[in-house]
Amino acid sequence: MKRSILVAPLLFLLLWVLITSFSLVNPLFLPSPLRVALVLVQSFTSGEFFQDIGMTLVRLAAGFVLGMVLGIPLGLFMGYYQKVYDYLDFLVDFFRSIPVASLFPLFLVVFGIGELSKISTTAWSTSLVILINTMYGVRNGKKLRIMVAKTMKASEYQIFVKAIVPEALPEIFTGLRTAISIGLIVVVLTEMLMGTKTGLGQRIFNASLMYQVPEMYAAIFLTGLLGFSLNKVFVVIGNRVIHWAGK
Amino acid sequence: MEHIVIRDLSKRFSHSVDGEIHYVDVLDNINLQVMKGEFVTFFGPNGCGKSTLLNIIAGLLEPDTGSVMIDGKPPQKARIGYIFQNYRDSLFPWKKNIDNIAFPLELQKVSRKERRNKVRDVLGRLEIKIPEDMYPYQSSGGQQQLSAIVRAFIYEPDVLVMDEPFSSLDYQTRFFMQGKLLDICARTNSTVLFVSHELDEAIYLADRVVLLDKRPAKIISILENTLSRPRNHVMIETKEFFDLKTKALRLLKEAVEL
Repeated sequence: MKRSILVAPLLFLLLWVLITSFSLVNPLFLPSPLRVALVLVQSFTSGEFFQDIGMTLVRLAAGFVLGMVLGIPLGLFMGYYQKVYDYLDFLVDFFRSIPVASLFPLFLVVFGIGELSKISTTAWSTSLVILINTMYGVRNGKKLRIMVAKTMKASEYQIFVKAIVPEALPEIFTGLRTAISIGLIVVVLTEMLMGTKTGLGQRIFNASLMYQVPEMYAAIFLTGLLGFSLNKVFVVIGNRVIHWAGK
Repeated sequence: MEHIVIRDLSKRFSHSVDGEIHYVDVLDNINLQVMKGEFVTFFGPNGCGKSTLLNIIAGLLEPDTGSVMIDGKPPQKARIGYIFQNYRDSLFPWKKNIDNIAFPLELQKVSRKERRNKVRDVLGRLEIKIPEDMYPYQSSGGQQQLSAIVRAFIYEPDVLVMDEPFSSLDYQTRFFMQGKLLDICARTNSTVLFVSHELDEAIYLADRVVLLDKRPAKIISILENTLSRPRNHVMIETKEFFDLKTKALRLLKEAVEL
């Protein structure tokens, strides 16, 4: 790891320390980093945050896997058959233009206030992203590779499995990476707005309502760390599995 | 006996501009017979329809009129080894070189172990060295195109069809690849149809050079190359080669002036 990546975070921290130690901002809105850190340590030793992180992750994982199971096959199908694409492209384009928060009431009515509504909302958002990337991966694959397989008398099934799908993998993976980030946003939103007793979103929302500002910052920090780590994990896996992308 | 018979082949493409359909004649009445083991090159200006001709011979396109027969079979029933100019896009970057070469065997559902053995055997017999366990993007352009060529041979094609395969390679590599190709062909008695836009290359490799006119492509003339085999690059400096080239240029010039 390059040392230079630490410079900006440290400067940021320094700025934060300076602002709070000279009381440039009302400490009610901006507690010192030390206080936030103390809350973090306390919450971890008491185990409070583990349940929240755990629940947020479980909801995210469930929604994401569901989104993948829906998005990849449908994306492959839409990308491969021009007719299906012609029929569904407009609809998919419209669906992805709907801000997901505007669908919360609908999902609440249909799935109730339990876990199902949160997971299905997350699945909705992630599946659309994954579907679109998969579809474009299939449609924008190198035509020459398909031709190569054709000259060697590959069956339609072989061309699909051995040329088109691997060709689409880099795009599919980009979709998965985008989806995990969007998924986290949606999960946190559902935890804030759909009613629950657990999860990072709920923790942030409650802390804000009760003016427990250091707790709020701690939870925000954790959410950011979670999103950052998930993205990094996906990048590392991507570079391993899709080693040829961009080369 | 004739191996490949191309008879009265014509092809036109249509495209619409502002709702009006325009036709472009690409191939005009091509007739050609090729013998087993013959190396035939096609030389003509860029965009004259050479690739279209190859695609029809390979069975990827249907002609409007005329026919192609390979050993009495239509191209769709024959085995065609097609080698493209763009080796980067014709190899599978997710497969190691050895598995790229083995791809035709994979399609024939040969087991992984068996097909790798076969590839190693063929590479050995042809005296070709390719970094087997590397990926195409880790290999040089020459190695990549060589992989594509060996892949075509693994397929045991009736005809090898090559569309400017060496145009994207640097000068020295091209020399090496030409030598290697002639060597492989001599060992395997392969029939090759080779498109080139370099006259030296077209003459050097060929038993016969088919000179094509600008679009629509029709055959201007067919040049017999009497140079002995095996060829080597010293021959390019001989008077015999020079005379062949002069003759080709004169025929091309006459066609343009008509």
